[in-house]
Amino acid sequence: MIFGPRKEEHDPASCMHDQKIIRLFHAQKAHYANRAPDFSKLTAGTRRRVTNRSRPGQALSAIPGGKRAVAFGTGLILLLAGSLVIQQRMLAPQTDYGMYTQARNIVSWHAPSDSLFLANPQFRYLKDYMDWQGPTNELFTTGIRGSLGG
Amino acid sequence: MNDSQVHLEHKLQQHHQASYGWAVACCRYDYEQGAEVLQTAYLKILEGRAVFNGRSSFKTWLFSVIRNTARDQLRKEQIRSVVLSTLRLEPVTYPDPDEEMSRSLEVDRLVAALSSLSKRQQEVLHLVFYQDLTIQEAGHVLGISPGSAARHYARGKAILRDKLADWSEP
Repeated sequence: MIFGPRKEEHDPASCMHDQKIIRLFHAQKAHYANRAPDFSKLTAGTRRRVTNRSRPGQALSAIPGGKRAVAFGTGLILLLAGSLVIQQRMLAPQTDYGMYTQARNIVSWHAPSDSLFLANPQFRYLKDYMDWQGPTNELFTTGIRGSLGG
Repeated sequence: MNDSQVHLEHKLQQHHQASYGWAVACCRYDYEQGAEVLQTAYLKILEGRAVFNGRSSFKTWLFSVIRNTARDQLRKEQIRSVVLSTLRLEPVTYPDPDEEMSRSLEVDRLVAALSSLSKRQQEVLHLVFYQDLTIQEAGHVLGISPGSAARHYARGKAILRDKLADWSEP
């Protein structure tokens, strides 16, 4: 074995040169042995800490791994769903029909004439082939397009 | 408490004094911190966060757990002291008179001589001379190869011998 322990390393006491070092370490050992805290007191404190940590419902870390993952996943899904709903509501196009009502009250409002619509070939087609009644106030005040068909 | 935990506590008790000496050595010879580190290491073991897998002797495994715990604790202490010094809130520390009186001259001399060694050298010498481990076992505790442990041992011992050359026994 290349790094096999030499006799001196295996048994430091056999080396006369190291006697001083050994004596000092032994003195240190005796000194620390007197100072070592009582094992039962130390482990009693440890047991208290263990008991406190394992009290149910104290913290997320106290929940077992599987349950913690489920709780975390559910929370995340709810959060994402909530943010998606809020985003949808904020970005949804909203027609402000009140604008037309306001315009009618402030200025003298006349329903748009047929000519405005008939300039558009699509409306011309409606007029020629379907029962076209022309645009009504209703179209602009409520946004209901049903009046196109009559 | 179940049988395995009783057995574990019994084994910890067998090595308690040696473990305390090692914990103190890992904490720069601070008795209080050594006891705290030892308690935290016991907690890790009894809670099952550190599990003995039988790949080494129980003692070398236990010493590895204590060393890792001490390193974590010292790192936290360092961060705390950096934060406190940044905020200019230096912790006030007073020397413990009992501790000062009880520390013998021999121990003082050894600790002073050891302080001139690198951390690794101190650890290897402690494990060999204090804990009576072989160099190979010391290397296992420290997570280094036996060759590297042997180098630290030889260099550390040479420095220590020089430092203690003028010391005569009382």
